Amino acid sequence: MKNLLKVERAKLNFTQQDLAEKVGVSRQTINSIEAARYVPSTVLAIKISEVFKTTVNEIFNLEADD
Amino acid sequence: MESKISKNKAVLLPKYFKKIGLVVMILAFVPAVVVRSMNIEMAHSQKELFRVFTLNAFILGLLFVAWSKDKVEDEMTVAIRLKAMAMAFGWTVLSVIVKPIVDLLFKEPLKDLSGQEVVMDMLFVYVIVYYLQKIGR
Repeated sequence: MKNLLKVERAKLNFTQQDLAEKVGVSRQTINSIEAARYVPSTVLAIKISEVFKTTVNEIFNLEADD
Repeated sequence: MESKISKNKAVLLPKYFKKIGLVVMILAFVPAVVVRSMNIEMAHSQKELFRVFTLNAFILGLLFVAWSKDKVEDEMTVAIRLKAMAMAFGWTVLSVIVKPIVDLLFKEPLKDLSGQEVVMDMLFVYVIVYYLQKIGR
């Protein structure tokens, strides 16, 4: 699964730590999601989308092999 | 929604148990070092009892380290714990099967694995895999 987390973060000028604190996870978790090493749960994906005031689909997209 | 998330979280010991665990692990070997360095004579049954208590204390310390919370506990640490547990379980099952065969080939007599050895193996692999994954995330 690919995501636009880094882009969305840049738009709001958020650091990984800022986002991590807003959604209640560690900075390393945000880093792993951005690097596509970890796929977040539905709850976390919704929390992230709420921070950026958008939908989950705008941030997370399925790839052909998903 | 928050209560449902917390229901999914693993029940872990508070963070300070990591330090307690490390202290217990170190202290477990202090009596053994003292006995050895001072050449204190003990009967066979006493030695066995001493060995069992030392190993039990070490296992307890290891359990505290393995089972205590991290600074930030989130869904990724839960996923990492699960992976580490699965690997530790798999490793232990394999070692229980393979170790007697290796013993049979290279050293006799054939000995059963003790519960302490199995538990220690499992906890060691769990802790190592967990921290390696944490470093690599």
